[in-house]
Amino acid sequence: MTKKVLIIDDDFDLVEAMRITLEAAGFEVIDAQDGEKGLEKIREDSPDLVLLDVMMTSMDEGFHVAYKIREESAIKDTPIVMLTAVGNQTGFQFDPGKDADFLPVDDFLEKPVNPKKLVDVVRQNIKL
Amino acid sequence: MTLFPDTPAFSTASMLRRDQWLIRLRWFAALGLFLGVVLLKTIKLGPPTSIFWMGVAVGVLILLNLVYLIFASDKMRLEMPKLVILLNVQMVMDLLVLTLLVYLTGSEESPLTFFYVFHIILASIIFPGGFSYLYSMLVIILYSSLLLMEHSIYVDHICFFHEIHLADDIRIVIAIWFIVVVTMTVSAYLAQSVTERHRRVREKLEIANQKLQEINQTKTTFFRYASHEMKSPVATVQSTLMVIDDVLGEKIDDRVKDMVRRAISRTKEMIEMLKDLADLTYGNFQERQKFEELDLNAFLAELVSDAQPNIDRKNQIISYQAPEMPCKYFGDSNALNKIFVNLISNAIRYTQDQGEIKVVLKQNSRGYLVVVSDNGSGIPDSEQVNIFKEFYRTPSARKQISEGTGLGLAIVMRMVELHDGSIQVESREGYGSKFTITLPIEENL
Repeated sequence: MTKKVLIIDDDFDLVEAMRITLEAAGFEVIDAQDGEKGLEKIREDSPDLVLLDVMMTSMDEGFHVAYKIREESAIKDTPIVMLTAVGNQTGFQFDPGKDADFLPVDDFLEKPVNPKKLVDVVRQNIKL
Repeated sequence: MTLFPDTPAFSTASMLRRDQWLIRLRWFAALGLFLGVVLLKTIKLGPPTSIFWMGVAVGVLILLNLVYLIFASDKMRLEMPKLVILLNVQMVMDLLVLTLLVYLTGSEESPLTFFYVFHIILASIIFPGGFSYLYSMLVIILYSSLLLMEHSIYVDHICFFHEIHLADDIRIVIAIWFIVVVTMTVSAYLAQSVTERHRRVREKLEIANQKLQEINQTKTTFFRYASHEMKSPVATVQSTLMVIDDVLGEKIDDRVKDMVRRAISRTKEMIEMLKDLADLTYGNFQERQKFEELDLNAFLAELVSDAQPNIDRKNQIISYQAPEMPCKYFGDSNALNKIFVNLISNAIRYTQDQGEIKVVLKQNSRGYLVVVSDNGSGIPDSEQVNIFKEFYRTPSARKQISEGTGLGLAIVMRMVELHDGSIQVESREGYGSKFTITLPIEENL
């Protein structure tokens, strides 16, 4: 069965680039432009993985969305890969191992998104 | 030594203001002396000839002040050297008149000697440093000459108080009391005007400094937002291009693919630049909020081992030498990361294949020294002053490696400053470079 990936990002062009990449790799892609719509889609379509942008309407909207996902029992096990801004200002590299306590996400992917890496990260984190 | 420094404090305008102030003060002095003479005459204190000549002295003072007033008017537009001469003439004339008054009121018996003090204070307010000493010397010379002349045969001593015990005559007691009161009041006024002036200058400086900091903050904020706002579209452009190259690559011909790859490498360059610009604004924002205790030794060891893949690629050797114990340091790990990653990657880039890079950590009484050295291409002497400037790349660096933002060492410098440290470079063209970072730990832990 095709695995379904939900991309929550307000950058439509980036969503399209990722859609092409993921579809070429055999995934089904759905998208949402903001956190609120994203949560609705997770509840309705139960995607196998969520690609979540950190910065949308606010600097840390992505984090709040991630916390909400983890709080809802029906969807809390959805793998989340967070898309972070370029070098996210400080050049600090997120380390999921180190930051897992306070960041409820499974992995990180830095923009610009390398197609090969995107497919790798999605494959690694999706529950096959 | 220049007696008159070329600073705003000794500009023509401010010297002229001081001249006008001095003239105003002299009117008050003349008025006070005039009233004193009238009073002495009324209460019949002192020899009449003395009182007469005191009146003449006061008259001369008033006439001189009128002349000074003409010179100080805006119409005259006196320029600097003449203004200084005029001020000195005034001060010297004032002292001569005062010495005459002191003589007329009994020389060493005269309470008017106190008034010499004002002139020394005035000289220190009006002129630069050394002048108050010159004037105190002039006062000493005038007063000593007066006493010497009296004790020789040239000048007769005037016995102002008629050989009586000063304390027996209430008029004399009041006169001396009055002089003391005047001395105290005028000294207070002069001292206050000095400190007031000083305070006003300091306040102005503080306001100016605050404004500068605000402007700097605005600039930093602008850079931060600008680089942030530019990063997203560029990142999307690159992501899209990579999809064309990677995912859709089979559908396009090689020439298009080549162009896309060139575009990708240019967007990478731009993203590096934007990251670096954001880094340059880093310290200004977080200040010391992100400082934490860390082990500098383990920190550097990890960075050195992270560099290994790049070292291997050029068949270079990297070594790390440090004391065999944890080196506790209170710092910002992200900023420290920037410092040493930049220095190590520069060393790798500008050192030929098979070259050698050394990282050494040393501890001394004041803190830590981290030395990053290589036996690479080195930096010519003439370029060493420039390498920490934003966007500067030495011509040979440009020739060797085309990419590079020219911001790396500027970022290093910023991050070192954030830790109150310093950075030194020693280099010989063709023989290698050595960067020494000092990270002080006084009040650090």
